[in-house]
Amino acid sequence: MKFLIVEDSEETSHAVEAALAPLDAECVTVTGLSDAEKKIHEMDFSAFIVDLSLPDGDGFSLVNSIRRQAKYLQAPVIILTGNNEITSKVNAFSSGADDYVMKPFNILELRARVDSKIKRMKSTSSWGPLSLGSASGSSRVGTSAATLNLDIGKDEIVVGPLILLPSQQSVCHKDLNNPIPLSSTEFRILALLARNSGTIYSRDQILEMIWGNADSVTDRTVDSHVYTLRKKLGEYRKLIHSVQGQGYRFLLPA
Amino acid sequence: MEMKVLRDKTIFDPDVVDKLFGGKAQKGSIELFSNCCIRMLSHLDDRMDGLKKSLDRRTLQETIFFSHQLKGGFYMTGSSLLGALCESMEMQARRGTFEGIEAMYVEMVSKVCEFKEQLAQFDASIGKWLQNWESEKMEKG
Repeated sequence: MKFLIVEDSEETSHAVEAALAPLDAECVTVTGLSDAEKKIHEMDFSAFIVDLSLPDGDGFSLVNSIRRQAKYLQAPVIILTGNNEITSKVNAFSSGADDYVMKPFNILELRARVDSKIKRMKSTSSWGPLSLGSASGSSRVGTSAATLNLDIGKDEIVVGPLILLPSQQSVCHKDLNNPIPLSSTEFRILALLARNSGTIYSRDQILEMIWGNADSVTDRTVDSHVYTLRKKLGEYRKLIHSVQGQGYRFLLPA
Repeated sequence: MEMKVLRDKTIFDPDVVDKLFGGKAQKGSIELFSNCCIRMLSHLDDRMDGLKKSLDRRTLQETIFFSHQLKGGFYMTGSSLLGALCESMEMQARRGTFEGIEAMYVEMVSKVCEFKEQLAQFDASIGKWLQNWESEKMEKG
């Protein structure tokens, strides 16, 4: 495993490295956004620890950049900050972060939070890995194209009539050139449901997989995001089915 | 300036090892804290000097940079008061004004000496703790 730590304070980055050392991960530390942007393209990381307040800008834009890359759709992103304002927390989750840790932090708590996110990512991957980035372009995943129909290219995911574009965080119809922009959270919910087409996910499962163990969200949050996602999908809204008393699933037309 | 916010902050928190580094009784935690202190103290004078110069030159970007750097170090070495002061300076500079920043800097300078003294005393006590720990280990081993 390789973690990217984006933190300009030497004392803090040292503490983060120490916190993560027992997880047997290689830590790459950078002190600003521009270096971080380079690294996320050059290397592959399993998780990201991002300071919100950096010398060359705020960490929100970096979280957005990370989430726009298909290979990092499920990678845990944890925001570190001294800012306890609610708007800052909301912005962190909206930009695609999985968790938010206040500075000064306890290193055991940080380790536990990162560890739980990594474990969750691994268990989610074992249900249906999003193995993107094949050098030769697209490759088919799944044994039954009729039920799964999931083509994965380097920068797009084709699911039935829809093409998910992680780099643009948008979705469009195969035959149209009008991408529908989605929020990071909406995109991740759609990607989760679409690439596991037919599988019912309870609200709790979606909460865990998209938000991790964040305290600030409830199952109503899932409903609210699914509502706006469906609204944006327009005529394709029916691809996301509500299963009474159970949750949501993505179903391709017969 | 949120002076109210500073009321419950301390110049140095002797429980910092427990709170941030995972338990006083663990040798690893003590060493981690010591390393953090060494790093912080080795930069402290330069950063304070940088902050002072940025205020003299009235350069907001440098003020943001140095107060931000100092903030992280103070928080991680157990001074919630100095960390919060730096945070307030940084936020004020990010708002594009020096208003109140010099007063905060003066307060900070007066507290930094006290912080250094308390940190040094604490460092001496954990140094003794480490010596005892090593001796006990030798006796047992």
